[in-house]
Amino acid sequence: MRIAGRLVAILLLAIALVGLAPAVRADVVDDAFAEGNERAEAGDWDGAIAAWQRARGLLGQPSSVLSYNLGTAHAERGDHGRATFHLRQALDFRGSPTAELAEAARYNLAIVRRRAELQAATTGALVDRPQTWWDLLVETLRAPGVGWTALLCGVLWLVVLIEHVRRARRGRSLGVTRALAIAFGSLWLVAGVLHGVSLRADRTAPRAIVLDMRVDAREGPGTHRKVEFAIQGGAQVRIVDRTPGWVRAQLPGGVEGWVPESAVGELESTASVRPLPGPTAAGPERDTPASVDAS
Amino acid sequence: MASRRRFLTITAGAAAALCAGVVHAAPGLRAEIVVDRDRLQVGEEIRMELVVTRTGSGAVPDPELPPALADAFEIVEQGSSTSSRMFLGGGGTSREVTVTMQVGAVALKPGKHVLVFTVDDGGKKVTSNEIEVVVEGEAIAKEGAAVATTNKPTESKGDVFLWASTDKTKAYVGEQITYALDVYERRQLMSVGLRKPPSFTDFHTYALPEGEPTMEVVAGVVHRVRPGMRRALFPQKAGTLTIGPAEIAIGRRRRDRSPALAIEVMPLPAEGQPADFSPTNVGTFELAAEVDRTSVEVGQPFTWTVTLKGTGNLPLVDPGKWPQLRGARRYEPKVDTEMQAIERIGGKRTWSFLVIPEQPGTLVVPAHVLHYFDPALGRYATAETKPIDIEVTGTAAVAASDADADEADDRERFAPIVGGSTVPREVVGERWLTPRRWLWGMLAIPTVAATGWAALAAWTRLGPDQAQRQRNAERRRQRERIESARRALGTGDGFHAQLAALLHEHAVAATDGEGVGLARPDLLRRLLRRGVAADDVRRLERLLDTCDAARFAARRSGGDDEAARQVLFDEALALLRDSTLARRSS
Repeated sequence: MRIAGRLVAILLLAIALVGLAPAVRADVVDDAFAEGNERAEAGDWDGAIAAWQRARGLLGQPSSVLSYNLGTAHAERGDHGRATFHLRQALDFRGSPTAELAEAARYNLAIVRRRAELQAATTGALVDRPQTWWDLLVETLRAPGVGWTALLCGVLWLVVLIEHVRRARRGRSLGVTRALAIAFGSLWLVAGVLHGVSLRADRTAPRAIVLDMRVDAREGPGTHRKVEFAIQGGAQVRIVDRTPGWVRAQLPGGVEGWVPESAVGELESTASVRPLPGPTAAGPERDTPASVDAS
Repeated sequence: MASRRRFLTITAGAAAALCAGVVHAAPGLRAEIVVDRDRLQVGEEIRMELVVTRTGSGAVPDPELPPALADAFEIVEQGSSTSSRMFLGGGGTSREVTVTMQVGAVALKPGKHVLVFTVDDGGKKVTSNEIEVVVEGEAIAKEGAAVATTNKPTESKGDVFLWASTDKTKAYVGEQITYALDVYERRQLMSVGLRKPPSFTDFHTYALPEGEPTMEVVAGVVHRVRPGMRRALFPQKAGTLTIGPAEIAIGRRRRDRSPALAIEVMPLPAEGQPADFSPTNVGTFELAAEVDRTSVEVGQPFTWTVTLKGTGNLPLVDPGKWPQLRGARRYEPKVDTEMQAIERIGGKRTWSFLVIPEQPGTLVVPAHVLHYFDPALGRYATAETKPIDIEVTGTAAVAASDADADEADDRERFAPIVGGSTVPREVVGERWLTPRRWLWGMLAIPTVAATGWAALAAWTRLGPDQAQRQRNAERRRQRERIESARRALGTGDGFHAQLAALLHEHAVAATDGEGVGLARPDLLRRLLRRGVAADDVRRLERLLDTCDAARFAARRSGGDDEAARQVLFDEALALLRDSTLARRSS
């Protein structure tokens, strides 16, 4: 009898704990978020970043708001690489960005981009070229809508093909079905190939953002290898090869070099909520401008 | 019996022969030294083997190196190996273990040297045989105390020897010292190579051009001097620093080594040292500054370039704190270094700043001062740029009020963070159309199409033939006629025509197509020949006649009502479904 009573008590306790767990977690996430906001209001960007990173880790899911705040805080600190990374993540649909948030994120991204380009011009570091119509086209082809269109055209092509055969067997007119089959088949092929190529590019060479202010790209993996060029923080690269601790980063122009894995952040990474290897409280390695004496 | 005796005899003989043939080794420890030559020149290498053999049980001690090696030779190679053998005989087995130490040594001192070694066998010394080795030539120094020399060799040290020197034996921290390593040859040898490069601990080094071989007279003998190495050395700390010896291999057996060099490095003098002086600024330098334009508009960038030229360890020169530009925004510099290494290290180093004026008027790019220590003069010196005036013009921005300035700042101000006390949580699931699903879907479409095409082809090939398909088509047509006739029962429009056509088609089908085009009497006769019962043929004829009469003389007969059509229809169906005609036509 006593054992049964204990079992019931343990069961009730477990149910209570399981029921309360999300609420408890929600509280600590909100506490960390609010703490970050308070610190940001006080101008303590390092403290705010630490609090928001904590909230992000506790939340365990993408949040455009947290990414946006993190990106803006890094931008305020002059850390263009991490600012670009977080602001780009803020635009990811998985974080549920609102229209206003997306607009603000794009606005901040534009400022960060301008500053990164200016810094690259002064230090001689390489940076990815600005987006062109071709990039927009590639971006569009990667969109799920193109994938759905290709699939739908394929199914319609099948249906039209069946009807075409049926009509042919009954000796009816084939002009309309032939034209439709050609149209849907072409759309299916073209959209499918382009969407597939863009998906493959993302899978084999994922996009990443250079996090550190200036990263030396070497001819091989290892600090003893020759430095070939430097990449500006905030530049978008593709990761085309990996070895433990190092990745081969490719700029859009095709220039390649090995950089430490911790110096880049992958945009499509499933572990994107993981805290980035961030700068210390001392701030980024090199800030810009070096002196602002407009008086 | 005879065979058994013969077997025993052979066996005993074989055993006796085996025992007699086995050599029984005597137990104990033996030591033996073997050399590859007993006469050599100083600098040549001799190879020897120290062999210790124990027969029977017990460990084999390692041999001790011959004492003569410590004085007159330098060991350059050493290794050992172990082997063992088993012996049978004498009613048991015995074991012999041999430890062999291979030693390569370069002769340093001329004279007669006796090579002998001992091993310690549990307190008992076992001595090896003695070999006398004669070394000829002049003695060369072992690696010992470093010497300081800037001189050329004054006496020859053989047909080939190595010589190291520096251009100075005393220098300040950060001052350049030039190191030279040369091979002097009386006769040209092809197989001289650097075996061990010198070590430059506590020096910052740069390679200098080695130059071309020259001829030099040493002690009245002409030598060919082959440059082996040139280095510019910058001592990094004060004290007596040592440049390690280098070693060359001459052929396969000879070696020669340069002595280690000692450099006395003095600290930079404290007297006259500027505040915040960087100890890496040692050399002779000039500093200049220039801008790419002297007249710009507000917000228009220009480049300010500071150039440092001179001799010294340029990459380590610390330019110091750069001056502040009032009324302008200055960014981090782009640094380029062009090194020149001829006899002394030098070159040019530039710092290029991007500057954006923010206020109109005259922007003064101030002078920049670099303090350095000139080792040639032994005192501190200063290099300085001249100030540069930039005329900054502007229109709207010239008269910018504070409010306008704030507005301009706002244009580059970041959008604010999202405040609040709770993180919005709107869980968005992953897209259903993942790349994998999309790929499967895209691949499924041609797969379905190909499968359908294959099924259609198989059906065409393996399905019903032409006759069967024709029969099926006829049946389908007959069913359609029956349905048409049934629908026309009420009105009578076309009923009899449909029914007559239906009956006629059945009749033609019952003749297997032979009745096509025949007149009705001929068709009926053909049915009779085909085995259709006469009664059924008569029923068919009557039905056809009734239909004809109804079609062409309905008004005259006056019997064309729905009930009559129903009766006619039922009779026709009965004939077509249950009669010899129906069986034939199917």
